[in-house]
Amino acid sequence: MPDKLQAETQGKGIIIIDLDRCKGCSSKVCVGSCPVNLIKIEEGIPAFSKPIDEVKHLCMDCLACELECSFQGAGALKIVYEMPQLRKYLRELEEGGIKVRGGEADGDSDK
Amino acid sequence: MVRLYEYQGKRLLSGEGVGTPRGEVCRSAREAGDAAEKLGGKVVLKPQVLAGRRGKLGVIRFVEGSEEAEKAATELFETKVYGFPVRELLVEEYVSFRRSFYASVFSYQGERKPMCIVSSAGGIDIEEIVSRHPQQLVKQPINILEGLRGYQARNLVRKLPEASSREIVLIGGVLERLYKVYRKYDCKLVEVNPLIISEEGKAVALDARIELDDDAVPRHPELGLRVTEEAGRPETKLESIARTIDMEDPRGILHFVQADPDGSYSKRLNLVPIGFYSTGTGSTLTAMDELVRRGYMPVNTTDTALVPASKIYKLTKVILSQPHIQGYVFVTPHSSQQLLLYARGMVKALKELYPKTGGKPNIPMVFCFRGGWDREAVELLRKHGIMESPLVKVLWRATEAETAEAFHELYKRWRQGAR
Repeated sequence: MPDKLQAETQGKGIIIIDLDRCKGCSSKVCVGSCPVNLIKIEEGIPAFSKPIDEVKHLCMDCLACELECSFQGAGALKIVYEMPQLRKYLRELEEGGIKVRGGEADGDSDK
Repeated sequence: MVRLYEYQGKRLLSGEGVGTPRGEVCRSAREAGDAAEKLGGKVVLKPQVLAGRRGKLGVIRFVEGSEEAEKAATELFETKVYGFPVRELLVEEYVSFRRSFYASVFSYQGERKPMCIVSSAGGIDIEEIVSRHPQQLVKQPINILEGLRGYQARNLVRKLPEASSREIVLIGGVLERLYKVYRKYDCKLVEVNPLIISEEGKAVALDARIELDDDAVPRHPELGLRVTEEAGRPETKLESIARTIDMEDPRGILHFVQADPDGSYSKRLNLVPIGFYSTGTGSTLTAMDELVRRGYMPVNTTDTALVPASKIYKLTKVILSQPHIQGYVFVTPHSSQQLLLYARGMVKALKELYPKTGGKPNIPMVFCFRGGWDREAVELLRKHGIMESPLVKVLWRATEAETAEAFHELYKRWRQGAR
């Protein structure tokens, strides 16, 4: 059994579900949070209810699953949106000794 | 509204077969001199800025020879036209003419159709002349399913008093082509003023004003457009990053413009620079006014509509990447948008930017939700612990003034306390 589930979203994000964490989650809140019902439970852990290719067209990037999972669930579901140009911009600022207040405390979390 | 520079507009017109003067775009006085020599004879120097009525301002120069052109160009490059610095000059051959017209095709909301207008009072002060002699302007709505047929265009020109048969054919032909440009490039406005009949008897567009529908920009990568060009300056790094958000995911509308990219303006006016996220122009302007009068400068403006939460998340990250900001304000008008999506995007961004504190920021932040799903939006920020932060204030259905005042209080406390 895979330990991770991955699928792309319409907005070019990657949904990553860490299934190991899901095993300890009793809420399975991800299932009910998705407005287009893309997640179901199979043998006690989440699975996509549609083929990966369809998930890409159906996921609306509403972020409900990620936030609900982090709040009530096990924090196993993340949607990663790469912003390489922003990361490069922030790195350049940092190298120039310029602090960015918006992320100053902990730096850019894209890392 | 995405407006094209005159030379860009003329390229589109010329691509559809509308006559335009020979010319070159120059970025230095030297180039202008060389272009004048190449063109030969009398030439016209036209500053390329996104503003009309340049003729009235006296910044359109008629010169002869490279020396004169270089001298005039030097002066023009040092001039500001309606506050815009002149970075490019269009150097064109001078075309003498017998008659000048005005012609345009634009989206007319009154009839929800494209509208075609032609007037025999082309040139400056057309509005004034037409108000005195209304018969000199004729117009016709266009059925978008049928387009503008040649005979319809010619019939329209025929209604103008004193239009010769030659003019009817020439101007009618130009109207047909303007409509083609309007449709091909998803324009809101294609305007030529003046459209002249040259001494040689040809129709030539001496100016071009073309505006595209904002939403159409991603459909026309061939034009290489940048929405922030409206600001009359090259886009900043962050603006270009914000533009890629739209290019990767074209759902909805997203704008991000930096009003004070390096913080120098705020510094000069002794205002505190802050990041700003708002939707709707009216609310944006009102909130900005309220903030500025309390001593805060929103260093950017935004507008988003009908975007997915992921784009709100990305834009929030961009806004908070402005290095000099000392606060953040989010405000919406009585929005019909699903504000819960806004809350989700912002909560995700905050949690990623401040992972150690679970999303609690290190600068004062005020969020004001008004409109669809506003209760749910407030609840989400509460649920995720963002509201527990002493640096965060979340308002529900507050006014712009109340939002600004809340930020002012928060900022004062932050400065007084442990910063």
